[in-house]
Amino acid sequence: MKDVEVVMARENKKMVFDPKGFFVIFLNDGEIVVEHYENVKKEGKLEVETGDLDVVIKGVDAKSICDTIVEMGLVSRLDHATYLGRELEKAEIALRNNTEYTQCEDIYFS
Amino acid sequence: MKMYPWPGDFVEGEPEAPVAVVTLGQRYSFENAAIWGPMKTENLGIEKVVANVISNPNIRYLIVCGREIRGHRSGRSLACLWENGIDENGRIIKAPGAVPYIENLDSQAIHRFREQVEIVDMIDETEVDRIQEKIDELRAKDPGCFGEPYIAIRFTERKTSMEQCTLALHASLDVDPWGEVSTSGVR
Repeated sequence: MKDVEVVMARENKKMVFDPKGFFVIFLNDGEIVVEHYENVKKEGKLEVETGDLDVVIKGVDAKSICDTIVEMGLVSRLDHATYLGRELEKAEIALRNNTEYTQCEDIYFS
Repeated sequence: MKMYPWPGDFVEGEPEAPVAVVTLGQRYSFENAAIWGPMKTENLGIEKVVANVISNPNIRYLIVCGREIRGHRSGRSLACLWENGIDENGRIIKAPGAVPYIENLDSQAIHRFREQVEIVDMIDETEVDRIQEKIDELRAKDPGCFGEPYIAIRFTERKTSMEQCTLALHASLDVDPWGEVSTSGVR
C-alpha cells in the first residue's frame, strides 16, 4: 500500500521582494496594463516601494501576460510568480465583467 | 497621440477645463474638470499625476481632496513636491510619506509642474458637493493656457511574438528532446 501525505494549506505571510523588481497592474481602455519597475537603491538602501519603470505589458487575458512576463525574465521568485497569476486572473475577470479592479483588493460584482 | 501619456486609474473630462482633481483614496465623479482620479502612493502615484497634468497646459489648478492615505501620506507629499521640489537624490523635500522619491521624471518636468499649476489643498475633504463648488469657483478664474504641452514620458509599442520564445511554457513546449511530454491534455 502506498502512503500519501495530505497537508492542510496555510498562508505564508512573510513577503520577500523579488530582485527582478515589481509590477503595477490596472485596467485601462479595455485592456490589462502591467507596468514593471526595477528596484532602486536610495541613499545606500533598497527602497522596495518605488522603482524605475522599464517596460509596460498590455493584454486582455492573464495567460498571455503571464507568458510574456516569463519570456522576458521579469520574475525570479516562485511566490512572486504565483501572486502575479492570482492578480492577473482577477484583472481578467474584472475586465470581462466590466467591473473595477484594484491591485491587491477583492473584486466586487453589483 | 493621447492627451494624457501615462495610462492609469483616472477619468478624462473636459480637456480645456483648468482644473484637475486628485481624490486620494476615494472615487468621485465631477463636472467641469479636465481629469480626476485616485492617487495612493507618494512616489509612482505622484509621478503619474505630474506627467499627465503637465501634458495638458490648460490645467492650472490641481485640487487634492479625499481622505489622506495612511502611511503613504501621498496627498501631503504631492503638496510638498509643489511647495519644495526634490533634492539631489530625487526625494521630495519635507514630504511626510514613507518613500517619497521621484524616479521616472526629470527635474525639468518637476519644474514645469510647479510653474504650471497651483495646488489647492482640500486634503481630508470628502463632501463631493464642496469639491464640485471649488472646481466651479476655480474654473471661473481660469488664467488661460500655460503654453505647449510638456511630454515627460513616452511609450513606444513593440510587437512581441511568442513563436520566438525559447522557454518551455505550459502546453506550448518548444523543448522536449525525448518526446516525453504531451502537448495535449492536462496542463
